[in-house]
Amino acid sequence: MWKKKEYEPIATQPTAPSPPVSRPQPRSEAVAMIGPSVTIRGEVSGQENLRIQGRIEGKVSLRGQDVTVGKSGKVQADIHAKGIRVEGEVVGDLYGEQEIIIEASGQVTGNLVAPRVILENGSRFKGSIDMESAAQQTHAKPVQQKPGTATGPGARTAPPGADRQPNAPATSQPPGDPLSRS
Amino acid sequence: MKQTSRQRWNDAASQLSPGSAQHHTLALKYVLRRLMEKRRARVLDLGAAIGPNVAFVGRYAPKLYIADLYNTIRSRVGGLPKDHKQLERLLAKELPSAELGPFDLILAWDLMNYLSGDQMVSLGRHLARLCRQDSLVFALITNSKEMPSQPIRFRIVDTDTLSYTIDSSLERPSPLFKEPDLKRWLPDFKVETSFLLRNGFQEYVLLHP
Repeated sequence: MWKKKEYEPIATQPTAPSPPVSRPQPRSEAVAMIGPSVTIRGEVSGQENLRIQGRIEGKVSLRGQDVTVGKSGKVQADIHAKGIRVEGEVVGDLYGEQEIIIEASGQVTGNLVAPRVILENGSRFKGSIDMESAAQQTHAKPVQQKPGTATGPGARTAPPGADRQPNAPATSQPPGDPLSRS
Repeated sequence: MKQTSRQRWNDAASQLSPGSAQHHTLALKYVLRRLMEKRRARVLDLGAAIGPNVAFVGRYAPKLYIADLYNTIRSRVGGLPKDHKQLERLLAKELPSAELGPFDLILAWDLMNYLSGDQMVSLGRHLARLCRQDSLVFALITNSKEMPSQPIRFRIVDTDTLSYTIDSSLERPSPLFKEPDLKRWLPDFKVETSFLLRNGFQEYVLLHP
């Protein structure tokens, strides 16, 4: 008796059709793995997190996902991902939408572009670190002018340097206070 | 018993901060203040990649280049070559290209202690190409007779404090460079200011005029 109505649709008043709602794509928590004996030459792309224990030569493009280069991983490629963690070796440029972490066992030769970069003690890195471009891309907001703020060429309302916003800390253990606080 | 430079370092450090391998710095605050006057400053670190340094300097300069010059050259050819042309080739290869610069600040740390006069001339010439007017170089020159066999890894603790790690227990004689030496070998730079520290280091701030 109870079961009879269990799956009956609930009667509802007819309403105006609602606009289609764009549901967020469920992010896959699964982690694909490239095993230690696997070598890939070419482009790797997809919609799930990736752990690389083998070799990749080419390009890794997993936007919105996390990529980990494991201890036995050797990558000669540019990597685009949300978060990138390096425990092995990478020769290439890394573009992290959120952060790049080079673990103590990690070695990277290339350029890092991410709003947050963490180099663990013992890691090896050679190249440039750009925390500005990535921050501008990921946190781009319309500029809200404060009342009374001068604009235009040459306008200056603060002493040199005072208008600079310190960048986000690039490590989980930020060192002492910068000059702006002293 | 003969005291090693490592012991002297630790002794000197312990006078300043008991139990820790840290020492006071005066030049760092100086160069950082100058860096704050720049917008979108760029920094070239000739030393090894040190996470806290990246974090700290990144607050002042969103663009950094880590050259890890000594380790990179040593891993390629076993040490800094005395042959002038070979060194020139390596510097051209291992230092960033001019397109990545110019840099507002170059952190040389104690690298210059490990260079001969000729090598210093080559390095200075390459660095000058990566500088703009008013760019600064932060260098530490030792006044001790002996020094560790390879560059010390300095970590920025705060604007007044550096901590250090000596990777090797081996020592070598120090070149004991003086200010006239720097002026002679680095003609593209002038000494803007210098600070003598109790640990035997003289901190130099060099200006690219």
